[in-house]
Amino acid sequence: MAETTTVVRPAAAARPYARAAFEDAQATQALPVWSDLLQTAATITAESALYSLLGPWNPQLRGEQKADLVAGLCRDARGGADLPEVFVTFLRLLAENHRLHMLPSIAVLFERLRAEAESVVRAELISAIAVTDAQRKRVIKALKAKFQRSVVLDCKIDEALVAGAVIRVGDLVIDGSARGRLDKLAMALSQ
Amino acid sequence: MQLKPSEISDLIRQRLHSYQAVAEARTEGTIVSLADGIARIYGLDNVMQGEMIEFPAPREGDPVTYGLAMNLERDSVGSVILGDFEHLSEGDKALCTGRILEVPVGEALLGRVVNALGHPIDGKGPIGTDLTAPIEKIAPGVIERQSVSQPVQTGLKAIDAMVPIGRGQRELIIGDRQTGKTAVAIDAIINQKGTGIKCIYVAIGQKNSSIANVVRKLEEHGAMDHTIVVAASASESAAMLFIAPYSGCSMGEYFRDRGEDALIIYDDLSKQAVAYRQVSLLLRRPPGREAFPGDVFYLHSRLLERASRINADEVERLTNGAVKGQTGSLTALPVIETQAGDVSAFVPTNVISITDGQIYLETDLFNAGIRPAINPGLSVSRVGGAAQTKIIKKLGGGIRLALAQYRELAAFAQFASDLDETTRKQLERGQRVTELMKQKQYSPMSVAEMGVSLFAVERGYLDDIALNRIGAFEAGLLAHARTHYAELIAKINATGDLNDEIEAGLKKIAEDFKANYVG
Repeated sequence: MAETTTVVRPAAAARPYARAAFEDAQATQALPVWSDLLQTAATITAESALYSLLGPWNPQLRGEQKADLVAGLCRDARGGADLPEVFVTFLRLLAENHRLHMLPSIAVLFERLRAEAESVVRAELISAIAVTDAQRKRVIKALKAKFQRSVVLDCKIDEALVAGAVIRVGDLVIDGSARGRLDKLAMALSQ
Repeated sequence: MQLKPSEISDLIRQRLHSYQAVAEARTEGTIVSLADGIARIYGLDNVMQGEMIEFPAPREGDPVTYGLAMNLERDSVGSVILGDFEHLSEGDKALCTGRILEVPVGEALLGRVVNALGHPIDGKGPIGTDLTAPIEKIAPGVIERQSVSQPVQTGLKAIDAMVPIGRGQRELIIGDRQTGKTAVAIDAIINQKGTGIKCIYVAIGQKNSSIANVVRKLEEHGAMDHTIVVAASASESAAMLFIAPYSGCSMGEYFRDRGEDALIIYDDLSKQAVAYRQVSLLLRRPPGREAFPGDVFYLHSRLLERASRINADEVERLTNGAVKGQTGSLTALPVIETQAGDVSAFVPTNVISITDGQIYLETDLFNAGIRPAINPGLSVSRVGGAAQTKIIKKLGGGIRLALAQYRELAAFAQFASDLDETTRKQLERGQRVTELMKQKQYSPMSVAEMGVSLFAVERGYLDDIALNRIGAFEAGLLAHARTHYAELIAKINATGDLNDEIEAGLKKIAEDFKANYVG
């Protein structure tokens, strides 16, 4: 298939951590900051060299050492700015409970909770050729009407679609591509 | 099948016309794990329980592979794959179809052998029906039903006289392996020839060779014309074995809902339960007794509850007024195989409690040459009595009693050297009845023939016939009746009544034959 998407299936154990982080961030009105921090931490943790180092399977580092390592890298990634105290504590807690390697899952779930709370849907527009701004606006408007939420649209180009576009919102895929129609036509003729 | 090029282009043109290019919205998930025919899918938030899930086809142009959503969990959907799954892999797309699994139904299926999905496997080309029905349906409620009052003749003396089956009844056939369970079922199908009762034979977990044998036998006896065979052989995946009875049931319900009568045989439900256990364990549902999941009772009860007789109003409603004043029925003969005669195992007790009676077949009787090997003491029919034809009811009433008394005395009589007259008579009557209840496979009897046989034993015409000559005497008697009293036989078959005139006729047949009988 032409469409390629990376699906992160969040680990079930990440759920309570994501919820705790979300509730705290919501209470202190620091959702964007937390979102940003978790994204950074998730990217760092997902790095394969670090992933093997940070997991509970590595006995050479103690918990707090792992937490400090992630905190340090986060700080560097953000240009040396100090991290909020509560985020460092959060990392320590994760390390203590052997859950540091679940940061990518936590970030995904956090984003989902945030989107839910702010009633935003994330949509992906995959088209054969680059879309114009006017087209983008039209898609956003249509999706807004369909979902009754504000829409964040990511655009991608996939030449294999031949023409038209595919819109993906969560599980829902709206296929208006020539590729999809050709596939359907082939199916209709062969059966 | 030969097609002309012009026909092909016509066909393509037709398809192109009916094809509509619209942007399609679909719900998509991803396979995250795949093992033993079970796919775990991430996504598909809006999937329904029991919905069909579409997986990629093995090759481009092949029909797509379908699965069945069975476990809806917080993060994922557990699905069984129907058919081959070797071509699927982690990361493949899975689509919601928004449909509950459906199978083709209709008259066009008669005479065909199909798999659990209703696809033909007999090499006779596609099935000419556009009708489909979901495999899982809710059984008719109390209001839609009517009590059982018409018989299903199996053509087996022992069953029709002692454990009569009515249209819409569920009668269990239970017994160890090699006791003739399938034989009883096949005889029942063969006997429906010309009665208008459509038959569905669902083979679950049997060898392909056994299924082929059954089909051949049905063809030989001209019974395939009114029969659908649904085959889920031992080589197919557990999911197919699990859904086969439901598919067959939907095909039977088609006839029931149109005011016709149908008979369905599930051969056998123990294998279906085992297949369901496999699927459940792979889906990580907690095991219970004998490692079966908690809902194995519901598995069978919801299936057998669909066998029913529905009243004329309901038929009229279902057919939108096209069929009036006719009741419809689906009679079920589920088969259960016991292990070493253990009827108290989990699945046998469940199915015994669900059905309206059972025909209990025994290895010892089978080996003693009593075939069908029906144990008259343990076999019962809870509703069939109301549906029995009058003649069989009146003449066969004494059979059960004679056999019960005989069983009681037989054990005791082994030790007694001299017996009083009454006891000796009861013993002899019992022996003769047992002998008379024997019947060859594939030779079902009509009501009148049964009436003649039962009349002979009931009125003592067999009392002075040697035990080993009973079979021959019966054959002679029936041949005599058929040749010299064809009119009476036809009359009994038509009405099923027993009045003075018919009784006199039966008496005449027996006396006539006996007068010339030389033994």
